[in-house]
Amino acid sequence: MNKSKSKLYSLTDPKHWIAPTIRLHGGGLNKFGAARHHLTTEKIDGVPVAELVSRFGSPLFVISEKRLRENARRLKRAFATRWPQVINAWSYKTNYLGAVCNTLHQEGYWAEVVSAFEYEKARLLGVPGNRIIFNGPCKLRAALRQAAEEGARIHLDSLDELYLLEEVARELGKIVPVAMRLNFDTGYTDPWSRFGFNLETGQALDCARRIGASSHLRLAGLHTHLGTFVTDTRAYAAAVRILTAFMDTVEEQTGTVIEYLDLGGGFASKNAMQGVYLPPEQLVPSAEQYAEAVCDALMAGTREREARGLTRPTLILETGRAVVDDAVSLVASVVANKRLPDGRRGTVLDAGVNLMFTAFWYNHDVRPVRRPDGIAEETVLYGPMCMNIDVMRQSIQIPPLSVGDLLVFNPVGAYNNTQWLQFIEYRPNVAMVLENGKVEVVRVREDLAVVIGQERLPPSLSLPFPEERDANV
Amino acid sequence: MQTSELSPSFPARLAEQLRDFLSGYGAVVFTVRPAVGALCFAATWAFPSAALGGMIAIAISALLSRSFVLPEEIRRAAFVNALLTGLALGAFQPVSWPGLVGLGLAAATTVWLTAALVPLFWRNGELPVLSLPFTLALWLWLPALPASLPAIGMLPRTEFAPGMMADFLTSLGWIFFSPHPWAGIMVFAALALASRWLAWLAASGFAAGYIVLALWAPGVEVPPLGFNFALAAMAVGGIYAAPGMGTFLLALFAAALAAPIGLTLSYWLRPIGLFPLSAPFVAATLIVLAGARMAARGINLSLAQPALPEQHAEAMRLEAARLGPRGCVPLSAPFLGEWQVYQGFDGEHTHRGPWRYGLDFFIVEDGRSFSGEGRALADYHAFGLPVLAPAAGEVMAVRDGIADNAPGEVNTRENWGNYILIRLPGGACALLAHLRQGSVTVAQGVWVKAGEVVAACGNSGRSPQPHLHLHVQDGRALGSPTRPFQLVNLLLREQGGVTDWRPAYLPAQGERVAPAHPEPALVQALALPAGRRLYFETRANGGPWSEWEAEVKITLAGQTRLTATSGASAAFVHTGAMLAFFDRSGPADPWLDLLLLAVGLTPMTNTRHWRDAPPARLFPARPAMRGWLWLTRPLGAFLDSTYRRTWHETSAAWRQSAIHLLASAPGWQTRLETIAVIMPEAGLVHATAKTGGRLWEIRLVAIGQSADEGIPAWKNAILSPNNIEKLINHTGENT
Repeated sequence: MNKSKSKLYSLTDPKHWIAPTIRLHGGGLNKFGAARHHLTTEKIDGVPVAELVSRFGSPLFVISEKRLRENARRLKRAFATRWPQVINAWSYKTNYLGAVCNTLHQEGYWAEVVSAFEYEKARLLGVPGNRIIFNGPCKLRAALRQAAEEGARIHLDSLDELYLLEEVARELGKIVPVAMRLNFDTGYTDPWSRFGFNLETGQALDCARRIGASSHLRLAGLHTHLGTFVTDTRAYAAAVRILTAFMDTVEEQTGTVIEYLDLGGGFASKNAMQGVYLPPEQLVPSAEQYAEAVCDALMAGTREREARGLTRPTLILETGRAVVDDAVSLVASVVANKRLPDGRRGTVLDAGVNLMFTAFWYNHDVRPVRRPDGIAEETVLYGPMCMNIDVMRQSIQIPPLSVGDLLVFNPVGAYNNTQWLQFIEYRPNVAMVLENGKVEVVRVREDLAVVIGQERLPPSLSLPFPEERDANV
Repeated sequence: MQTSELSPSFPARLAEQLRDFLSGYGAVVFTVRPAVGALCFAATWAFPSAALGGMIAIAISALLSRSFVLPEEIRRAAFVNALLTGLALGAFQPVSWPGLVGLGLAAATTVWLTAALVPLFWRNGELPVLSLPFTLALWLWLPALPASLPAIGMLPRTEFAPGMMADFLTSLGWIFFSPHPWAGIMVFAALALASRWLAWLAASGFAAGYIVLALWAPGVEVPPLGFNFALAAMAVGGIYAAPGMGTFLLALFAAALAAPIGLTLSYWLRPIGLFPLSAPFVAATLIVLAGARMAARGINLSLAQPALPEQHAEAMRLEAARLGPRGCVPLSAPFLGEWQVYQGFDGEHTHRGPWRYGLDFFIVEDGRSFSGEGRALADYHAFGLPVLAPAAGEVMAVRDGIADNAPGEVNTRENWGNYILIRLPGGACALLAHLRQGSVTVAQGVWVKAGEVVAACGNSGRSPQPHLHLHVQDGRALGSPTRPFQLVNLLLREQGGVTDWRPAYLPAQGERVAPAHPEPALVQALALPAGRRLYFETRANGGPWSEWEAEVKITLAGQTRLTATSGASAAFVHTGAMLAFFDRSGPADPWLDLLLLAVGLTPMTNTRHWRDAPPARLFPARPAMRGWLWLTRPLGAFLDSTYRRTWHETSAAWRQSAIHLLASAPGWQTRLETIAVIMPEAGLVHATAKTGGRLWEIRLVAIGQSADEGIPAWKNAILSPNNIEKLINHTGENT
């Protein structure tokens, strides 16, 4: 309060004359959520953003180890205090920077991978095979073989994959425990029916019987993944009811005992999806609310089974977004300002959708590092790409920014450090503010050598202007 | 079919009968070892007429027991009492036909009195009859004018210097009606052979009674009373109670008490021509034991399972290491996940006075029990979390309608808030309190099982912030005095974030605990059903392999025991949460000992670290070390064993390694490392022990099952030895 007051006084400082305006001293809740253009992000975990930029350049991704661990613990606790056996897995595709992965592994998270590359990365980081969950629609023979050998939990996506894995298991002389990925309609989300086996058509039960008859595969788990950014916890409760009912059917029909249920991911983070009316603070359930929905449904769905003397199945969660998203910020600098023909202000930043790919779907919260003088006006934030689609925010109420001003985007931890593009610009430094207050670069900014490192020039193409070589000689 | 039950050969049966016969003699001094019995038997021959009388009485008792098919425990007690009757009549009665008839009648009386008194005493306080039937029978049948003891027995008349030593030895002889120092020496040797602690109790008990007698009635002939002092001290100090300081003092007290009882009885009985016999011992022992049943600490009685002090000490130590203090009600954690103790036993806030044995739990993260501002109940980590029944039982009372307090406020009118009171099998009740309004899912009269979700954590009653209160109380009235309890199968977070598994533990304020959960694959791998036969191969120091076999047997009392062909055996329990071995008995068998060290206490839960305190006699120590331990640790030494278990994916097996430390003297530790390899399908397939360059190995070659009526036996070779070799040599990753 005091701070904002002193800023107000500066408005009347005769040395900085600003045209007189009428301003609304509001800022409470309205139907669009809290008015937030007075909010700033001066520090990340106590480290001034300006100092970070002066050390590591701009743009800059900043990861907060503290927040990452807090999120991981909170989610873990939310489920572990409601269900006896829970395995939290870290969804690699969400952010597979080694520093992020190992922070989460240190918090007891397994690795959830969806490709041979992610599998290799997890192994390289030191994750043992038997703490890897191997999902995805494209697992080739070599990857399946390695996963089966090392005891990863393989989740089958198709019958062809089933046959391939059976062959691999026969070669290895091993009975490989597997899970089936299932898709079904919960009534609350659009079913992702391209993945796994459909339940309603009977495909899933056929597959379960097929695995039951196999002498090299053993059905140990059931897996589903409802989608992404699922904000209705009832969807999870419905999924659990469907899964537990299917578990009973499968156990009765094939004689197998299901050891685990994997509910996949999809928990929303506090980000504002474009086209969604409510602000994330009101819309996005907490970890506890997700956990309550899932575990209550699980308790109810397994009560009879437990009475029959079977232990409760292990619950696996493959959360990505909800754990990492708000632990990472993107700092960008203002490069230029312009007035658009429709009267709005246009501000060009040095970070665009090449770095913040999720800008296509989300209106990320963006805050200046220092509160800019002046009144908020509608502004479009553009990135540095020479493309029309390179828009960081279509519309934001913010006072005029000057060249060199810093803006902080948050949450940007999910999918940006994996889906970012080396397109037109180099990818910048990624720094991590450690719990001990130190700052470490966990991914160094790219330079020309990195970008051309994989390139090979055929000898005939080694020179751009061969005719000039002869001239020089 | 393969294991045909042929009746044993005649010599074998004779050997067995001889063993039973000698064990009966040993039972007079509370031990069943035939060698001990043989020494006692020899001691009776100091006076041949007594020895013969004893044997006749035994024969009569055996005949009666067998003809009337008396239960085993009465048969044993009758044997001892009849033997004493026979010895006494043989010694005090002139050899004659009427005397023989009298002996027969007296023996029959003894047997019948035993049969009458054993159940009576057991029902009234679980007390043993000791030698009371003998004393009563003798009071009835001892002739009005008994012959005096023969002056000369078989033994030479050695001139023992009169004094305490001679009195002591003669007193010991009196136990078998052989009042002779040499007989006493034999009895003392028998005691020392059975248990050095017992011999020590006999000597110190005698001294205690001797001093009392010297102070109260100087000049009284000691030996006819003195054996009572020794016996009372032995019974109280090591046989019917585990040895310890309190027990030892009570043992001396029992011995001292036998002196005035003996004097008083002598005074009243002498005019009618009777002797106190062993009545002072019986009376003093029963008084002390019956009184000790009411004691809450200082003495650990074992009336149902009398055993030698060394066995008691071992069982006590294992119990202390595995189950914690005695008399605690075992409960499972009433929550899921990791919680912190808000207030422990004798807590600073409300766990005082009659309610001192209570535990409060909540959840703290980074020093705070809430996230956000903590103004709403939902901000608190613990609020609304499921609360589980801590044990199976009947729901006696429930309250569900009290509003949850706002954070910081308390409701002292309904101080327990919403609660569930569950009556446990032992009669005590467990109380879960401060539950969330409207969250209770069980009703009065419902039977719940442990681990069932019964409510949610709330903030009702005297609760300034959401937490869960748990206690065990004596009656069903709310707020009855509480009793100590502890939580079983627990993961305790140690300094540095490592979690340690505890079979039973009472967490203190500030400690963080979580319930452990069974890993079905381990539970299955370590199943040991009755009749299971395990065929192993063993070798020491890389020598040739030889065969070793063990079978799971169930005793009459329902105890499961792993019994090797050598006769060595150990009892075990497989609770679904852990596999625990105890009570190693029988002849020496290093291979069974190796198995007991490698998997003696094996939790079948998601745990990696734990500790145990197995007896040092399982340790393959060198003879010099064994001698040193024998000298310095009369009640047995114990190992400090630290276990660690990891799963090895490449060999598809658990590797359970342990370090066993034997602290022989301050600053002198010997170390043994064991490694057990456990496979999901086959269980324990390989174990090694290593100490000081010596190496023992044992590997599983086949699993079998003994035949049952209608079910043939089977035996399957599970792995070729080469495969196991591979398994062991594989230096796979640690996971």
